[in-house]
Amino acid sequence: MNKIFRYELRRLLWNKLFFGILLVSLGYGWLTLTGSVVRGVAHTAPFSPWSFGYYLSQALPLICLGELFFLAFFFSREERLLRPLTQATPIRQRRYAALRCGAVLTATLVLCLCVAVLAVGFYVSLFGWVDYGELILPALLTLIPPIVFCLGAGIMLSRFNHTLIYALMAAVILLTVLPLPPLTNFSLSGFFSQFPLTVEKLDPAFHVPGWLAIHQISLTVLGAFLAVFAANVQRNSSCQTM
Amino acid sequence: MNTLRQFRLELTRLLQSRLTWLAILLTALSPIAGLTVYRPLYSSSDSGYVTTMQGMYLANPALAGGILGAVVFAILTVWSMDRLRRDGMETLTHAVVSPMTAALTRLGALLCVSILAQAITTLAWLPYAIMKLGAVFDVESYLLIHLIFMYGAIPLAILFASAACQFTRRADLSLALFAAFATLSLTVWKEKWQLCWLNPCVWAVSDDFSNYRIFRSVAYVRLTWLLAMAGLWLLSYLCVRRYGKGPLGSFAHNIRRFYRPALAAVLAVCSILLYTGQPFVDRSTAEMDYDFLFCPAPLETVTCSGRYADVRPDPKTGCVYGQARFQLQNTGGQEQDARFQIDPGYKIASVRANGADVPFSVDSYQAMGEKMFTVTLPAEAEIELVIDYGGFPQEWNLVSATQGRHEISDTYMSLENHQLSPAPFDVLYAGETLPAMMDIVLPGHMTPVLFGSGATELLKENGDGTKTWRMTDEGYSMILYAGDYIREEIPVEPAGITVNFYYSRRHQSVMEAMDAAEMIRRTIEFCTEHIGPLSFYGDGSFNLIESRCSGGGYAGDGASLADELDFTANNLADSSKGSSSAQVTIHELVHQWWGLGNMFDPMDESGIWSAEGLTCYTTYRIVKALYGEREAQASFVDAWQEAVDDYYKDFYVRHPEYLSALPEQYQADIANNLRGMRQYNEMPLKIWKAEQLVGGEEAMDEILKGLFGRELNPEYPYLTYQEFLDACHLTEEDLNLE
Repeated sequence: MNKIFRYELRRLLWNKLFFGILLVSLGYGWLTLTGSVVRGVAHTAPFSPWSFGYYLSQALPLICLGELFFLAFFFSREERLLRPLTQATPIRQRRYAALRCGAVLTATLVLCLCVAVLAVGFYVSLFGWVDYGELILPALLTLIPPIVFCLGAGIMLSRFNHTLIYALMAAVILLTVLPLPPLTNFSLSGFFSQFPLTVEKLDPAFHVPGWLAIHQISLTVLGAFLAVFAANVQRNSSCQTM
Repeated sequence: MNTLRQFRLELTRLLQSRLTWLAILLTALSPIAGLTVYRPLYSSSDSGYVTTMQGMYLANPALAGGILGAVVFAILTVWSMDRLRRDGMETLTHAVVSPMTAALTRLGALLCVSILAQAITTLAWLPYAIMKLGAVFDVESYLLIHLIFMYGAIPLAILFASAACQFTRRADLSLALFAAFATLSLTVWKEKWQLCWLNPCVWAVSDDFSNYRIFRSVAYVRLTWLLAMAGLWLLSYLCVRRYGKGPLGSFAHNIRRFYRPALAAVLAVCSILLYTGQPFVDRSTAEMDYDFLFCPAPLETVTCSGRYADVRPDPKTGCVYGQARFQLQNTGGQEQDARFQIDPGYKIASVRANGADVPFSVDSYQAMGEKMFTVTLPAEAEIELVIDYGGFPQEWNLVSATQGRHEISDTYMSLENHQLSPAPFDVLYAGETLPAMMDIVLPGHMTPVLFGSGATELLKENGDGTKTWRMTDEGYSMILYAGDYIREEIPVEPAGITVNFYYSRRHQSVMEAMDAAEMIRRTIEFCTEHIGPLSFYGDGSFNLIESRCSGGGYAGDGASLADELDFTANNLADSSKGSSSAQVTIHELVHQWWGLGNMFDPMDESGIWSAEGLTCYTTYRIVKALYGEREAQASFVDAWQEAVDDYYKDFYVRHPEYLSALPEQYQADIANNLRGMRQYNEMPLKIWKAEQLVGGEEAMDEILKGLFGRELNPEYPYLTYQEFLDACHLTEEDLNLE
């Protein structure tokens, strides 16, 4: 199993597509850091959890697009042509799909890590010291729910038609660009740049309001449910074809 | 194989490659960078990015597109050149096609693809430009900007990358060479207008007037580099490897056809000649030679009692030709050498005194954007000196990176002082003043506006669609602006003057929509009454002229120049100057009182005391008088207070130790941003607070009147913050807002 996982992961990571997405994400991340984050978000320090969360929120659409590109890679025409061969192998299809999901998730997390490391490097080079522990919560809050949701929704949609992944990419862009209310907004940049201003004291400690916690947990659960459901759909269809 | 057929095959092969289409797509998308991250054009405001609409939505994207397109095509060129070697097919292919032919056709195909990419980009961005530019869109400018600013860089990149490949036969080295060459242009050569091949020095483009001067300048630079790159490519072409030989062996073989190295040499020489003989910028010395402007010892026995010039600008070539006549008196009874100033770009065809040719010599020394020539005046008491001159006006090399000021086209002309006519340098007036008359031939649709208190009148309509205008003024200097101007007469009764507001017809809809004439009338009324009359009001009239973007306005005897950047949609939407376009117009007009000439020290960039504080405050007062207290309070005082509150909460204001720890570039960016905010918000709020402390608006009016009409100290004529505080009998601490 590990061997197959490593193989699939290597296919994703050792790929021009991954390097292209990584380059674009880092380039955009750098522009965000030097353009708006260095000023400090919502009167907080540039290295505050709020500013870091804002930075990740800005990079999030690109990360999700990258994740969907990885999925599209696994559902490309060439891959579908190879499916009869992989289905003929003794590995259980559900497990194989889960391994591929894991590979996509890992590749996306590598992307996230690179983007986060860029920010930490930026902080260290400019300010010398960063309390890394403070940055973990905003990172988890910002990245994990949308990534899990995009994975679930992407797998689900690709069951119907693989081109729907591209429609999901367009939806991600629209959800980011359109001025939507906070609950429907895909990116949390509005939350990170506005919420600290509603707190009376300056430099408020990072905390997550209840409504946002529920929203993000729901998004994660929905994404996980869609992924599991899609895997079941695949198993049933595989049985029928057999 | 036939070269033409080979070219067709190469082009087809390129067009069938996905990488080619990716390059075309990236080139078409590259102007996006000019809308967001790369905006090289000058911004006229500290509170936000303000340039003309064409600058914002056309020139910036085209310049960014040029850079990125060049990079993309350089990569495509290297990839394409390296393909055969990479695939191990070189030997086979060379057995069928000569490597020389292959190199030539490959270059041709790449250039064709670049033309296709540019055509697609130009077409794709057309609807966007039409939508964004609205009334100021014109097809000619759109095409020229795309062609010169954007496409101009791409063939240069292709030629260089191709030459590097042919020299080195290594993709990585070729890309590294290209990167170094591009970096040179973007850094070391950035301000050197003839060297920045990738990112031309474009400072501003006009919406309302024409841009041919800057188009000519950039096109000239592109042409110079194109010839140089073509020469370099031909040289590399001679190094195309043949018969398994190395670069030198191949070179020795390839130069057997004499025309190849000869053509390379001709191209290189042409490029050098274009570089050294450029006609756009003068050769002034780097030192500031003020003696070159002001004569320390005028001639004692020669005077001038009148001057006349017949000036004929040629809108097609941008040149000016003319004949100047001077009535001189030589009371010394002997020959005298009189010196004259003239535009460095002009040549003197002949000089005659009382009908006879007289010797003259043109100095090679140039300084302060001027050159001089010396005429030997005969030993006659009364002399009519006739000088025939002409040429292409040159800009001062000190400002060579910001060219475009001396525009001469069939839509706009800016002719200042010695560009109109030469003038004596060391000859005094015979009387108190010097009557000056000038006839100028302009395209029929142009309205001439003479800066200052002089007059213009239509002398005659010529049969060829041109008109001859007569300008009468006094003195050696005359400044003329001509264009498709609309003139609106605005009577301002309390000031006792009529304002002649000249603005471009292209801006008519914007000016009418915000009722600019009424804004001007009310602003001048208010400022004249509450601050004092402008010192440069003419005799009963005052010309307010919208000029082509030149980095700010200036004022003189009976006239004031307002930069078109003041009236761009971008600036009119700048909320820090007012909440509506009418309020921004008031703000810009108030600068006639606070900000022109030597009112504020331009070198003082450290503090927040600038023209903007008093201008914002006065704008608030006018808006209060015109629209009521509620709107003024909401648009100004509340907005200032909010911005100031934000300022004191800013992380770097609270923790300056972090700001000082940042690298200089970040420090400067943040400090500039904060200073702009403070100048536009904190200082007017302090002045507003001072108003409360000194006893109200009337008391503040008296103080401002006193400051505006104060006696100037010639050594330091600027109005300082301390002078303001002293006039208010307040201290800095009294106006503390924290």
